[in-house]
Amino acid sequence: MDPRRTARTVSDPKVRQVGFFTQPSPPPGRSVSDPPPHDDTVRSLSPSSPPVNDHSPSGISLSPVMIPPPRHHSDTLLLRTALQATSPTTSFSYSARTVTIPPENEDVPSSFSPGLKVVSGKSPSSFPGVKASSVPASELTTVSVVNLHLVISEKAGGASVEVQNDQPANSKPLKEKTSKAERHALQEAQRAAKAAAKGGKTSSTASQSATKPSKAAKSPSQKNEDSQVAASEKKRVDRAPEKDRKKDAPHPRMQYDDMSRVEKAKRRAVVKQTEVRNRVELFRHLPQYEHGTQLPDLETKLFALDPMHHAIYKVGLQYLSGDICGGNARCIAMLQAFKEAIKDYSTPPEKTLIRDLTARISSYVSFLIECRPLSISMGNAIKFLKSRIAKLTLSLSEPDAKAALMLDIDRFINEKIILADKVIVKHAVTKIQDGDVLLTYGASSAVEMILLHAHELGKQFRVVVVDSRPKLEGQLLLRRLVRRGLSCTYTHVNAVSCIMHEVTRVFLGASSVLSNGTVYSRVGTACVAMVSHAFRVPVLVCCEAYKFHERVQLDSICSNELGNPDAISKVHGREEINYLEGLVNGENLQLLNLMYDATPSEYVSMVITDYGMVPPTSVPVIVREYQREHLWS
Amino acid sequence: MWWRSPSFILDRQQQQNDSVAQNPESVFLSSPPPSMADSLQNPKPNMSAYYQTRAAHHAVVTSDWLAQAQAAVDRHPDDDGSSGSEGRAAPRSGGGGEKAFSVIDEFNSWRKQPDLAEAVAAIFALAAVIRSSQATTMMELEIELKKASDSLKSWDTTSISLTAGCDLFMRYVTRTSALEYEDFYSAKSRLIERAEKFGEISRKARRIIAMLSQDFIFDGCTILVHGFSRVVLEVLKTAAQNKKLFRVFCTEGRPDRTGLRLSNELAKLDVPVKLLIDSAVAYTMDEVDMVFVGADAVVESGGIINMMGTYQIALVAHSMNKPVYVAAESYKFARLYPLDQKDMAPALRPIDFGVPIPSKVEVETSARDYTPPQYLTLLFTDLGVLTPSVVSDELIQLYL
Repeated sequence: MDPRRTARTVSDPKVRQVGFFTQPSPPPGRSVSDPPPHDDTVRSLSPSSPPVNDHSPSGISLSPVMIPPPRHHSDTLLLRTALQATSPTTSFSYSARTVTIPPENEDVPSSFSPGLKVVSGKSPSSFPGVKASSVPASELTTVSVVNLHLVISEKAGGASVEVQNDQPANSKPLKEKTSKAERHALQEAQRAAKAAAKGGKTSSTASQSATKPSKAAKSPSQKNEDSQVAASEKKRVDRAPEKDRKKDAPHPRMQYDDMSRVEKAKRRAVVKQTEVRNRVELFRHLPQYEHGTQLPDLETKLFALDPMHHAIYKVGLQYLSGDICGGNARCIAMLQAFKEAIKDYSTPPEKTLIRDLTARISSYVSFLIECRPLSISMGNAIKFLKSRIAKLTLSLSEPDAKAALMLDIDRFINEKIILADKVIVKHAVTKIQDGDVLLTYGASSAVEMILLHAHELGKQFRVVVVDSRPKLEGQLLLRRLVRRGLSCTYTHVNAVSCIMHEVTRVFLGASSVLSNGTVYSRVGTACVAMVSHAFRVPVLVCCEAYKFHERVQLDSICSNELGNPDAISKVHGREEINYLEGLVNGENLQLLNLMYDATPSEYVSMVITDYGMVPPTSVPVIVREYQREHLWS
Repeated sequence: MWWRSPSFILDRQQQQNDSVAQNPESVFLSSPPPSMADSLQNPKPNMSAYYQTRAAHHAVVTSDWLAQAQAAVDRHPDDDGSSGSEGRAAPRSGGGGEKAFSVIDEFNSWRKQPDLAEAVAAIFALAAVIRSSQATTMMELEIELKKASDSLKSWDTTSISLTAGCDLFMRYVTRTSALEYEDFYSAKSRLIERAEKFGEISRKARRIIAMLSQDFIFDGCTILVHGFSRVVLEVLKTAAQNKKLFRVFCTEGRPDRTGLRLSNELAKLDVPVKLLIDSAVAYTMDEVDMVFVGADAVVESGGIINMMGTYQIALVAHSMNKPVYVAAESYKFARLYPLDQKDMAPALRPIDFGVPIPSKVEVETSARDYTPPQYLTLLFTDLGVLTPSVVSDELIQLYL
């Protein structure tokens, strides 16, 4: 590994410079949103040094984003080594981070600099194509960026500084033009990009530090870098408190392949989870932890934890151990815990209830996320609660406010979950006729209620329960159905294509339905839906409207949840089936236990919600018409 | 698919035995000589009232089965009239029993007008209920209306546009908050006024649809139409008036031969028309540029319920990448969501095969089918030109 790395560091920086930074024409994404005056001013400011022109701040601010999250195998190796050598690296990683901070921070307030916008769109695709041939790994570019930056500032000092100063002024009118949503999206992209850059940098400096002896006297810019580090160190100190404020809660959809973020999150975390090492490449951005290690640790901390309410703690542990699962159950448990926490809440002196309680809820939520990633339904419930808190009038006394909030929570549970299910059952039963054969997958509470109610009404039908390893939730459902006297068939998802020809309706539950009609549900649902579509069997998805989300998702990769990989490598209760004995910790075996998948809307005939039976294309209408009403009115 | 299970064959045999045992004559759906038919046939369960009216309006139907149907209605008032008499009873009890007013009769008298859509006739009938009502409060009136609309709906459960019209009007009565602060009598008159307007709206809707669709009919195009739809006729008439050059292929529209009537109308307008038998659709689809159909109802998925044969035409057109346009007024939007063809209350109608059919042969007498939204290109409605998925949006906004 070492020789390879040195070889990479030796490669000529000039080549990369050509490859990445001197772009003769503005990138394609830029022309649309980029106001021409900005470009013009940059050009006019530095007419004397045309080659430097493209390295002006916008060019530099490009640099951090140019580093994609580690994808290649070599990267991951590198990251791993970086992790292993944490003690020497940390100091370096800090200093490395500061190197690029000046240009970055310059951009933070004016987060609409066109350069960054371009980057978010094109970085990963345009980037490896050029360099993959010349340089095998990506992270080293950062080094070159740093060098480059320094060279530039050396060479064209005055001009570029001027340009830098000029930029905020230029971007101000821009700010007004962009809409709120746009700005938000931009900021998000920027943040992610920055974080990615940092991640890349950490590892790059790690490698740098390791190979330093070999190239100590190589570049003169190395010295400059150090000085730059010293200079920017000061700046960093100034900005530190500001940064702390920002990171109070982890992003619900944190990218877990981003080392620096993960580190940060870990420092804050209540639940200390050890990460599983061998994760599947494609799903590195999702968290995955060793199972069952943290429970005793947490239990001892039960009384030591000051800010966490015991009800929240209990629910968190139940999530962690898997005692509570299923979208509605998790959501209700969370809301009930919040209710209890609000009941016991008293505003600390010199604080207002609205602000303090919101912060408190946020900290609870981040704890719950650490225990298990939130479902979309829970996210919606939290959004509801927070908007309710925000809407409390200041004049309201504390007990009144608490009572109002508790009432709101109760109302949410009753109206949005319990009543909604009743309405769904009422609608769905009309689609069950005598002689039907209904197929269901997994265990959905709504589907169970539908089947039981149809049975109570005396409809004559048969049920096929399709199940899958490792959770075997279908058996729970099967047990309850058989007890009530329904005639059932039980099979595993492997046999779904054999059983499908006798099925007349497929009823599925969902964790969420997204704006494009995509159904996000237990893994395997997409497969069942696809088979039934191929057999021309109508697929009915039963989902309460509070689980709808305005997000659009095309695949199940970018947002998902990883389960315990042990669950698929072992067969529970049969110790003799253990073919993977001793292989699980090997480097070349990656286990993937996904929890959810996304079913495209064309496989769904109908979505049954509390607003009636609608086609999947109408989900955004319901989101638009009703979610807003409940959240903001 | 339940018929694939082996037990099916046994079930079916049993069913057949049962039905044969019950009324062995019912399988004679064809028309033997009228005199014989009168004595033999028990056609009422095979005939949807909706198609009866349509048949009467379109007047191209074979006269013999109409005569039979008429005779059957006269002879078996209990079949069709049973629910009708209930309906007759309902308003009487609600209104206090001072005069024998029946929504059904009212509805039927409105229905006689050939230019009036069924949904509008239903609304007129309900308006008549309001007019004759003795209620003194809004609540009373609402209950009375509800009863009347329920009896109307149960009188002919197969007619979707009747149900949709009743629902629409009830929706208007119960939802309009403007009525709340006014005194009762002005509210009442306002409701009547509104109901009256519906007739006008429905006529205007056809004009709007005709105007909207003009952009889609280009010179030299060939249009395939199926069945007889007043809206489609209006569309073609407007296009002819606008001096567009196009020709029309009319399907025959078995068994009530609605295509013949349409071709008659078009010939009067000097539009070149070609008649096809229903089975020649795929054969001629090459030459066709677009398919135009009406709709009995537009359902929530964005699909349509229309005369039997629409689905297969849409399938053929879809596979040959020809656009399928639907012309339908917005009062035909119904809160229904059929999942497949069998998922609807079947509207039955007798079929005239011209020869006696042996009693062992089953005859499919369904009068309409369901075309799923993925086979439709656009819907021309008075709300605008919509893609199928917008229908549900409109319905959600209307009813929720």
